[in-house]
Amino acid sequence: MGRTAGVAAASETGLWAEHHHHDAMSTRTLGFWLYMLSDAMIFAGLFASYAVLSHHYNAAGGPTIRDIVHPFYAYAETLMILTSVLAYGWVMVALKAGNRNGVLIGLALAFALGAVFVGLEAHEFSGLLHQGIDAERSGYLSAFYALVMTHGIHMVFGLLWIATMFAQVASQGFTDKTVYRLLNLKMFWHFQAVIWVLVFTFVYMRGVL
Amino acid sequence: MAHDIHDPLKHPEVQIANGWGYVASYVLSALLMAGVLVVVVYPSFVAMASFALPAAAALAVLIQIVLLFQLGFSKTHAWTTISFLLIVPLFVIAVGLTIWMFNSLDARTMMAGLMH
Repeated sequence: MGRTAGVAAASETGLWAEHHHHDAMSTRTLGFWLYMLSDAMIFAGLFASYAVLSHHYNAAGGPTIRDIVHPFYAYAETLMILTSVLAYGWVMVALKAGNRNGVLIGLALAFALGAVFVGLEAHEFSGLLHQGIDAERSGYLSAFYALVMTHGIHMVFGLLWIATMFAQVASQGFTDKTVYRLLNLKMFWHFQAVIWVLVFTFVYMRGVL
Repeated sequence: MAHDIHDPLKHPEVQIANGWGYVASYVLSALLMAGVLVVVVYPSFVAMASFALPAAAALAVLIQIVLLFQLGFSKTHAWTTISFLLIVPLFVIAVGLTIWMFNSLDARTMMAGLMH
């Protein structure tokens, strides 16, 4: 009886809430981290299929990376995403200091630079599609578009999330909820840079060789 | 003390933020990727590519894991680090085994000669 009542009371407040208040935040960030690792497995599958299909045999006589990628343009995209991640680093430093305006400025910068990255990629792909170089052309290009566009879609959702956090921090300030969301968004945004380093090196640069 | 526990900004995952670490990660990653660009673009360096590309990518990823994600064995990030280390073998199996299988495919099947 006493035990049942205790469990009921605990479930109302959260098992960790009463004595270890900060653990609710740690549980949420660890949960999101495990989601990010499963997301990374999706990329592992896409990298594996790209590694198999990026043989010139699978280009079916069509273009390969060397024909469609400009290495300096790809490096400009790399700089944009790395700088956007650095701007998010500013967000974390401002958050640590409790500086609301600093967090908002950092979020705005991270959004702007991330948007430039997405714009560069959209420009690159629209140029290719205009020339008839689409995913249906060959298995090689299917694997290329599947991998790079999955990353690009992650970036678009990341931008939506940054814009949402900008509005929430501006309207609500630093509450438990806005702070753990900022921590999760940090993981999500940094993760995109890690994936892009691999895309830039193994898809774009290795393909140019 | 009670105030500290209920202030989300005092949470260890907020307080672990390290501005110089983020700057170092940015500079090193940008330089490593510039190095990859140079190796690929200038013919005199191309011979290094098969070694330099994986090495630069691995180093950049490692730098980002340590300086951006700040993985380590502190109490704050112990489980994050352990879950990451446990998933690394899955990456190796998913990507490495697939590449290995397909690389040796033409030697072991009727596709011999087709891929060249």
